[in-house]
Amino acid sequence: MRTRPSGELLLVALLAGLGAYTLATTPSIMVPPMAENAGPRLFPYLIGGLLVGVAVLLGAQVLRGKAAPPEEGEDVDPDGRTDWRAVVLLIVLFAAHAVLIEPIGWPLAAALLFSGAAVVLGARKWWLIVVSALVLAVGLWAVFVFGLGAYLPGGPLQGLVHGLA
Amino acid sequence: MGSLDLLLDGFASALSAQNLLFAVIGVLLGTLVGVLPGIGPAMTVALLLPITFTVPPAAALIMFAGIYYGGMYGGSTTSILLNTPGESASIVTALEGNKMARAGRGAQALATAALGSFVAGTIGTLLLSLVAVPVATWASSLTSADYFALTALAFCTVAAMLGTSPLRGVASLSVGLYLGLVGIDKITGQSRFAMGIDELNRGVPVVIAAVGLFAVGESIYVASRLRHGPVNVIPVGTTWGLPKADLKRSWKPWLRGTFIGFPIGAVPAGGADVTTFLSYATEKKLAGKNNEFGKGAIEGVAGPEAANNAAAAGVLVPLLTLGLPTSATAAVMLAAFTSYGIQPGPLLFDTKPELVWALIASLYLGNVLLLVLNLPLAGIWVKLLRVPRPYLYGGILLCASLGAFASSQSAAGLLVLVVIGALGFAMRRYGWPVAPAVLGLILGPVAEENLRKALQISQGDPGALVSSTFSKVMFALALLAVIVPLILRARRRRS
Repeated sequence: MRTRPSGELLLVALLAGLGAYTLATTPSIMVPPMAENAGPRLFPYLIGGLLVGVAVLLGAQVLRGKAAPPEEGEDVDPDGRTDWRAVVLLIVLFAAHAVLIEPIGWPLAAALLFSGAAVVLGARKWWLIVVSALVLAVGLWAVFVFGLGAYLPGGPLQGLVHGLA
Repeated sequence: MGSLDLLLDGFASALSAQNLLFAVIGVLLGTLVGVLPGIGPAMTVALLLPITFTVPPAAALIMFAGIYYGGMYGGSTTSILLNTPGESASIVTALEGNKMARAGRGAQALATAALGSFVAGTIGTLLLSLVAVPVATWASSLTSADYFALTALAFCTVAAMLGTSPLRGVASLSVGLYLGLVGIDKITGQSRFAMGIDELNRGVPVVIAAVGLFAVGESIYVASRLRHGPVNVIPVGTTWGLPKADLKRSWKPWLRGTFIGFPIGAVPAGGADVTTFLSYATEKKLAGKNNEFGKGAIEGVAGPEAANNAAAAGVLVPLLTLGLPTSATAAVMLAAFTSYGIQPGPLLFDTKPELVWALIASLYLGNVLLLVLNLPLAGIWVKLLRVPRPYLYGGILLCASLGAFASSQSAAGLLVLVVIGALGFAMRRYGWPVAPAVLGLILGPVAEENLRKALQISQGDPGALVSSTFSKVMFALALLAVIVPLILRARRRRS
């Protein structure tokens, strides 16, 4: 028996909130006079209604204690508890990585993301983490920038490459 | 020019030295990424998509064909060789394939999967090249109301058939539909739900959403419940073919799987997952009482694998001729085609015949390459399965950033990616399937445009939506797709 409310209620609340937001903002969408029937508000009303309706039905299911099994996967431990620390750390790491790309360049920011994620997931061999992070990040950057002509800010590496050339 | 001439032209283009190289790279990359545990075909395609942006459209399509089939095949290697306690029923090939591998017949399981994929993929591609033009011609007579009915059917089947809880499927779908609303309205040019952020006016990019939901969401989810301890891979030798006895047991399941997979893949009915289950059930039934099912029956690998690949070819029929994706993988592919400047739909075969036929020719080619490369390379893929998980998921996150940045060219795109990734995690954690969200994002705008066009023509009379026989049939099927599973579940609960 479930003693405390499921965290799924938060997700359901998000769904309901999204639906309420949709229904509340739809009247402010401008309708050009030519598009009076079947204008730009019709579909948002339908989707908003759908979101709220599903949230109500699903909320009732969750409150009655009916849950769906979490997704299975090759590397997922079916009996494991959710490790919220890892979840939060990975999200913070990725956000930090996104912000760091412009100032320090993609290769370094990516090496940080890789090594950070590896450590969070339990890697402990420091030399292996550092070497594989740098090789992967710099290697992929070089392939994309020089091989495929994509734009990826290089940061200090860009200057180094230009200095050598 | 007839279709055959066009197809031959397609082969001529696909077989040029440069394009052949792209095909080989595509197959290798597709299999390489597809083999990695936790990465399904939709995620493989989403992760590798940005690489194809940097080459010319024809080469991109050719590479893409390789990635598509490679990703499909790579997944089966993983499920056969990874020794996961507590069987995951979501991958049908694993049911018997894993048992075969444990009994020392891993090489035969891989071989029947590879040969079966080849047979089914080739027949599937042949059927695709035969039906594509007639279907496209017929499709050009469809009205907006018919298209809306088709999308309604796709929504209902996707929500009802994916995942264990249909209501959660609908919830996921509605999140995708909402994301599809964001941006400038195509018909009237009004900005909707952009919250004053200029970049959102262009809409939520499909690549970012797909990479976020699949790659980032999956990595965070696995991180939250990682199976610790050593990775248990079943050793397997290199194989060059299939022993006669196994071949004799395999060829009928291959063909049956093909003819189950292709038609179901071609209609909007939930995509490849359904077909593998059907093929498995068929083979099990046909095997009679004294069978090896449950102990490693080769039929249980041969049939579903063939069905899977045939469905992959079948999915391309509505995608290319109607512009309608019916699986998450197809939804990502549609995004790819649009970014190459190709708009799939009834007109595609008239406006860009050289590109479509080059794509179809490279599907044939991709199948051959897959077979030639994968039987000898099985040993390498096995080594890949042994990569320690912390490094593996670190690498997946890194590739996600690379792909998202290459396609959005801004750090803001990556922040959207994290938010969608967190959502993808939460959805997995509570058993919401993520594929309907991607389909909703792509099909939502298509449904809206056709609904509104149909209503504008009829001056607001909703009866116009069900005026043609075709749309009546589609809505009836959509209703069935919702009601039948409900009845079945109610019955099961009573008994």
